[in-house]
Amino acid sequence: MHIVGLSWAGALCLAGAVGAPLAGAVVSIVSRGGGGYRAAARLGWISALLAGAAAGVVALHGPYLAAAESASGQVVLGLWADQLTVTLVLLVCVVGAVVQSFSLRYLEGDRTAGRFLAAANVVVASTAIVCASATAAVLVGAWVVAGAAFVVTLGCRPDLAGVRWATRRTLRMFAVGDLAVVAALVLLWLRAGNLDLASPGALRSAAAHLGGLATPVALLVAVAALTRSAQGPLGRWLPGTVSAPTPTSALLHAGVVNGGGILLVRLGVLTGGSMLAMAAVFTVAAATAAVATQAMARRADVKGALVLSTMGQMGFMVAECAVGAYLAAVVHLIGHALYKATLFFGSGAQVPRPGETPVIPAAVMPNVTRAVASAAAAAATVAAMAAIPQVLDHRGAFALLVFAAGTAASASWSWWGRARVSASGALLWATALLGACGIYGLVLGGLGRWIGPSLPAVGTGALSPWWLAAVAGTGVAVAALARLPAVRLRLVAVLVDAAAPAEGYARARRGRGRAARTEGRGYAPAPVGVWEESAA
Amino acid sequence: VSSDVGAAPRARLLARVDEAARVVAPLWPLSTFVAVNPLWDLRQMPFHEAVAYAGQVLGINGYPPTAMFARAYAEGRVTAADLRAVLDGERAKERSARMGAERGDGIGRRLRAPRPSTAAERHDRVLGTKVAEAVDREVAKWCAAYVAGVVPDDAARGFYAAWRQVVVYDPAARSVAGRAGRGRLAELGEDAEEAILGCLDLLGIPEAGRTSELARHFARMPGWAGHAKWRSRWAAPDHPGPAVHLVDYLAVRLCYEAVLLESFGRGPGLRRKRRRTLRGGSGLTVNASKEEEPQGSAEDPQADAEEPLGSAEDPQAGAEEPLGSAARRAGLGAAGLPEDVAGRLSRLGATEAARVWLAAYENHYRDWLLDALDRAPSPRRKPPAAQVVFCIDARSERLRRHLEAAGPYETLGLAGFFALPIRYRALGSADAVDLCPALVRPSAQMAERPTGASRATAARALAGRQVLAGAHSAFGSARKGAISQFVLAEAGGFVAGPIAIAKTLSPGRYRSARSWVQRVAAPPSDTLVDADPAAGGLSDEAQAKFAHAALTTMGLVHSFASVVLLCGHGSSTENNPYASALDCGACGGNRGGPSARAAAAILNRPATRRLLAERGVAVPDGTVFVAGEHDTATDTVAVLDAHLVPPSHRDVVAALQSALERAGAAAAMERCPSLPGNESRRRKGRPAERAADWAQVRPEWGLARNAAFVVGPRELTAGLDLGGRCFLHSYDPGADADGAALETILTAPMVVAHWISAQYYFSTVDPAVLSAGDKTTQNVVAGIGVVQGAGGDLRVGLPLQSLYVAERAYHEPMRLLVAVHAPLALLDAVVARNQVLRELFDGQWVHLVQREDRRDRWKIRHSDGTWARWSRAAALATRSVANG
Repeated sequence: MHIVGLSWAGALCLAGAVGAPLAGAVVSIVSRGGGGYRAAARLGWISALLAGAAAGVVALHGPYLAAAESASGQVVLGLWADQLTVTLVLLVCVVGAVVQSFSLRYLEGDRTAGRFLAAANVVVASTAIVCASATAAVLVGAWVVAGAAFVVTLGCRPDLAGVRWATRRTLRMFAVGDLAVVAALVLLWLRAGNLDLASPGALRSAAAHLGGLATPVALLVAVAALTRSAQGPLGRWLPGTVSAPTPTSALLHAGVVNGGGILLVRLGVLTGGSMLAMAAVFTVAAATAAVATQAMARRADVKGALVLSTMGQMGFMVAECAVGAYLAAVVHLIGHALYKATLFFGSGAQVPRPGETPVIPAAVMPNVTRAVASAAAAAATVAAMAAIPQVLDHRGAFALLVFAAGTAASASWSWWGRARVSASGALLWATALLGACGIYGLVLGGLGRWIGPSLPAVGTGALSPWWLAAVAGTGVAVAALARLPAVRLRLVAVLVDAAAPAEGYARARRGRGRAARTEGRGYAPAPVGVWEESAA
Repeated sequence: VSSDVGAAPRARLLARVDEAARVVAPLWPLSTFVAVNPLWDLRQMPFHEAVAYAGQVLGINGYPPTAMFARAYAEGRVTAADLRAVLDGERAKERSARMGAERGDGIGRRLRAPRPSTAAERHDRVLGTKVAEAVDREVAKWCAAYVAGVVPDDAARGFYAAWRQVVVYDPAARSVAGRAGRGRLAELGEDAEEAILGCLDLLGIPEAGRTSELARHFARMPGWAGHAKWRSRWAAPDHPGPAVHLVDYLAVRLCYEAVLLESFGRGPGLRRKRRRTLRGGSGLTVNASKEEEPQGSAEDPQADAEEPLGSAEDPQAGAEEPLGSAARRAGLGAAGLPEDVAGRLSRLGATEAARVWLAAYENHYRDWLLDALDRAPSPRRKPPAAQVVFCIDARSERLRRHLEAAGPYETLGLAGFFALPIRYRALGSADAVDLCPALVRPSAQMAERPTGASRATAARALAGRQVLAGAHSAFGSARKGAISQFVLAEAGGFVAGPIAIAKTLSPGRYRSARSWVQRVAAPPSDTLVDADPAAGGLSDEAQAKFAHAALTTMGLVHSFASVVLLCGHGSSTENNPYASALDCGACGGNRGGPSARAAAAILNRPATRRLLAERGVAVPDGTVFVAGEHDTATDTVAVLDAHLVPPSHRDVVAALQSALERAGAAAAMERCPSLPGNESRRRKGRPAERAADWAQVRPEWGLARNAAFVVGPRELTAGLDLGGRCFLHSYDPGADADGAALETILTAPMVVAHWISAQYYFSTVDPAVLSAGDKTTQNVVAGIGVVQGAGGDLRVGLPLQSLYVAERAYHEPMRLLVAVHAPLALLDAVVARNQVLRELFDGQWVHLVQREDRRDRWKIRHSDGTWARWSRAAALATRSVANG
């Protein structure tokens, strides 16, 4: 065996990006606080910089392999750097670095901080390997490690009853998903050996070798993806995780839940071939998106609403994968990860301070005008997006335009509900809207140009991208139903209950650091008969 | 109002509800956090009795744990001499406690029932079910949904009515009560009171036991019950938003209990799923549910049979273990707790021993403080260049000390609303804010308006703020829209990501950049707080009355300097649900700047000055009142309304500003080392960076370690390093012949200080029930409170990060010590004519010491109203205590 790499520098950078978090994990475990944790956080940023450098090498020299090969030239272990994988690795490393820098101050005085940082680093490193693995075996191995490390991260605070419950549940459900993906790997291995993910040709020929097993393998991979991305009944582990400290949630919602999308994109050639699997995935994901987005608006607590929002967003992303809109899925994955991490970190700022809300101006637009203005904003958005080069070049772009138009209409509707009606207001709003379109269009077009070549070809089993519009349709239908008086109360009851945590919090009232003292203490009712009056 | 139930049972019920609700304290919304004594409505009982009663009903432990005392002993924070002194006085104390118990008969008698429980708890206890937990879960779910405005309540008929409408469709209700039971939930009463009475009858609760039954219903969820109590008893009647009242809360709880227990009565008809939900899995033994059930002591019949109160440490070790031997086990016996003390402690019951330790711990600090006050240096008398009035807040003490050292400045202390209880509306703001302590109702409205010259810029600033608010609202609704949230998240992420990185890596620079954007969008303009009666403000007479009260209360009635800076305070922190807990408590958990501006505006009006002179307070024409605001997170002081300072006084103000800058830097340097994470030299003395940090759960220590309330002229405390632990209220007995000022001080600011002190005390000694828990796992609910993790009861009190560093308490839990410089007869008269003061002092909720002036000796008030001379010898023996 010998080490090869198309570009030594790139390979070293990529290996460093993955290795630095592992070093950080060791440092956090070995050191007992302060300096060691800071060093680990610094390693996180080094890893992000190295990932950036690895991406730079891809941009300059094209894709390369950092791998150990057998004598026959078969890749055994290794990482594959192309535009898609380095972008995902960069995302994971940046999220990891921010989570650690944040936790450094946030978890000050928490005895479990070291364990948390170490486990989080392992999650980051293994997720990065999932993103860039060169073979299916490496991918599945890293997948299992990432899941296990996340369960450890989650379980860092066993003093909280809610955390204990959520950890057990997550462990059980991850086990289901991991068993599925390991079974898929075994089937693959039996038919096609250690699958080389770097070469599209190898993937295609593996798909051909699978024959009748193609659909079972696709379904098994789908189960793993749906579990990790918290979809449908396989996502019931997610709501309980809010019992863990905020940085755990940030890592989870910006990193771990993306696993499903990453898996479906990287193994797209295998899964995209099965119509049955794609239809099942789409159904589950679209239903989750419709229910979760409605339940989210009926959730009283900040973190609970964010959890439901993530389930909905992941539903959207997985549905994009099911229709073969891989670029849209990757863009969504990246954007949502950054968005949700920010919202979780800032979840303490959700208390309104009195006296800070400005007066609503007396003259607001009448509803008809407001609707016209919103429709105009939607049309302008469609036009502006279509005008940006390469925005419409990818699969599902037109369906995405529907969503962009809906966003512009919704934002305009509430903007004109508050803003003073004036020419300068309209000008300002138009500028802001076009600016937003510009940023979004450039991101979409730019990422499409950058990642596009490395995305898998759309499989024969992929649904039409217009099915995405069904997600929008369902959402609108449910929202409209919720306004009908006859349906309203029923829907509220069902959605409030769907949004409520199942268990595991009821009397979780143990103080930090006082666990020993408060354990087993509390109110003790007197040993009287059931109906005997105690206050005799 | 319906029908079946007459007025008399309703009235009796409402009286019972009031009585039962004493066991929980009101819980203010987080936007205006108010520190409150969790046992405030039990103050008719002496402290120790109230703690015992709350132990029964709330299940709290009201004394610091042994480990805390053991560490204090090891550090010399409490000594064997302190313990001996308390043990010697124990006999006398017991006598007075008995007398107090007899006096506090009313509520004490009626509520002193043995261990109240709800019907569901008794059911659970005997049959091993988990009905009470299921009730908690469902009630918490609906309270949160209702307060968040999710439950339709178009007619605003209240929580019970709205819940009744919707619960018949609730899948969870079906799974715990069955389909028939779910329908039954809504059939138990047309209104909340009827439902409560009907359920109590259904459950077969006899009249005699109803109050304690209801009390236990409140005590099971002190958070939501506290919220309801705030809404019913403390909030302004016109407070907007969905209202959960005390009777609503009880009605919903009782409906669930009645229906669930009824369904058990029906036995075999139970669906399996429901049985599983209620039974908690396996069989009928309580032991099977041990892991999920923190009420472990229920498992031990022996512990049950014995007195569990105040025992604390570890229930397995038995409730009766005296603290003396616990101390010995902790190594104290060998380490130095002398045999005689250990022996005497071990002869006491656990609760008595905890009381002795607490008293010794408090006395140690008292002795140090009184000795320090006795040794305070005599100040040099020099006419000050300016006078600065700070809030009595303990955090002001540091800045005052450093300011006096930085120049010829005199400082005074007055409650931060400057005796001016107003409802204030900021320029262009949609809602008005009550700027006064929770105990006071605002008696006037004041508003901010642009000056004549700044009308145009103010309009522009308002337009800019409206744009920002419009953008915020557009984002907020797009975030929740059925279609819009997907593209918003993915497009927003590419903007939010870089912002999150910037905020994490360089919080200070991010904050400056953000405020630059805000300044550009809404450029600041000169405004003023309108005090003109013609503009709808207070009449001249009323203004003069307030001004007179403010000046005489702090004893500033002569020798005015040319500039008097009225300095409110607030705290600028990021990402902090408890931000209002760091703001001015005397301004109702708001920033104090507007109060200072309003007070300065009133005091500067010629009409006020004229009427003041008629009342005997002549403010010279050359004196100008200036408003300022102390940011306690950064220890900087901003001068507000600088455009109103006449040119003749600008030099003095500028000099004062630079002195404040130096003083603030020194105060920050003194304070910062105590904050964890400041070990590296780079971070020390950079409080601004810390305050701007969104990852910071301890932006400042707030009022942790507050210990004493000192009333008297500043010259008796000036020059002393009190470590930021004392509320300092200025008072001049010479200007207060009838005791009116002293009465105001003791009944308003002192009570607020007591609430703060008691809040810190109870949150520290029982964080499991009376603190808001770990900030890192908190979850903000409907913007009004927090829960831990996914849901459940609202948390009350302060977060752990305000009290502890890891397992170690930073706050020193003690009852407030009030040291008054006033003639003894005057003080006695004021106490005698105020019931609340008698309750607090007689019941030992607050310790009172008195001396008339520097030459006088300190006297300590006992609970029976007698005074004992403080002995200096004890102080000398224990002088070594650290105060910082």
